Amino acid sequence: MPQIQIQGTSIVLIGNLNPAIFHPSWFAAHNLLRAEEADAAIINIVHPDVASFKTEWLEVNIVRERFQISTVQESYYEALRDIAVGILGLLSHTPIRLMGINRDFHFDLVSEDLWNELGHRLVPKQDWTPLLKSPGMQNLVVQGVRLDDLKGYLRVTVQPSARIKYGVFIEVNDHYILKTDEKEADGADKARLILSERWDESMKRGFDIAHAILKSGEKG
Amino acid sequence: MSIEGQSQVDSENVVKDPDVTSSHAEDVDRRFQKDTLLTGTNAAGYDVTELRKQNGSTEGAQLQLGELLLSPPKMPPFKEYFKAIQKWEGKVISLSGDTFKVTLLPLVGDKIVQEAEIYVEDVTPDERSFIEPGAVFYWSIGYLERPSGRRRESVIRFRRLPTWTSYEVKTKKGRDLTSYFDE
Repeated sequence: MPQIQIQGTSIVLIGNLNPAIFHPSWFAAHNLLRAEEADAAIINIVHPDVASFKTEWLEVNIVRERFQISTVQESYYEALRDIAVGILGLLSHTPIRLMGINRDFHFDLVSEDLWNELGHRLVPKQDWTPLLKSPGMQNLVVQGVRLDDLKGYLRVTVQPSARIKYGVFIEVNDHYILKTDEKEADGADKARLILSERWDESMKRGFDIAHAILKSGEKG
Repeated sequence: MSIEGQSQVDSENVVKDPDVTSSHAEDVDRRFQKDTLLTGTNAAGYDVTELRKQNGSTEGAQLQLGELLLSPPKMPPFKEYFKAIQKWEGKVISLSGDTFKVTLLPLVGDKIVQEAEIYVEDVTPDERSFIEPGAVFYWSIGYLERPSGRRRESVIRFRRLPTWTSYEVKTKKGRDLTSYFDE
């Protein structure tokens, strides 16, 4: 059975943001990070147009229209969610149009045969071999409609892992459309509610999809 | 699958979609095509043919500030990964001396609530003030994978959420999620 070697989670918000405020000390002042964590943060840049820093477990990248926080430490997934919920509560009037809850995994398929088998199963090569010599799957993106009552979609990306030999990278983008009209309010509130109420569901869905993809490769 | 021989330039054939909320390389690449000011977590700067080799990482950024194109120093990639064996959401019931009583709800597997007693000493000193009845925390037990080897670890972290104001409680109480989408 393929093993997860590395996994991560990120939350992406698309809207209108003010990057300059997102300094580690702001996170600490609002009790979103421990003071020691904020003090030890590696600050890449904090500027009116961009904020980028990293702590022991958290990476923050924000530009005017995009907010992204991520972690590769499984023990901090809920803390990541809480940071986003906290920020959305503090900045509840910030226009947020879209949100993604993303899970990504690097699986070790151990052998080249299993690795190729999965690629062939996901992207059958019979249509490609007349056109290309040794065709190989580089990037597969499949999108589906949501099965719940919310607006958005699910998008799954599968690529050869760049981190693990004979590994596969799978990302599940759980995408929510919060506002379709600029006049609509409450984008931040909607995002906060989704994070508060649908987080576990989203995490499980990402995990299940990634494992189901690998199982489909095992059948051959 | 194949990861070798990437030499093409993707820019002519990249969908210009700023509305993607995925975090992986392709999407960072799309934003680079359109916007004047960009950053991301999975970009490889100028060398777009390398993007795919950075999938899943959380490093790298390139910024265009007006006419200036900047590549800020890369942040060191994470070299330690925590693999959880089990994770619980806990709630403090009571505190007495060196220990506190809690309920634990597994976040993975069967949702059977258990009670436990935890040493205050197991909590990071600056989080001990959070230990009071009703406080929520997350407890993970697993392995920390490091370049120097695997280490067994237990991580307790208390939930940090800014408190809702009384106005917020008054105005938002009772609104469930679906009501937002029916509007």
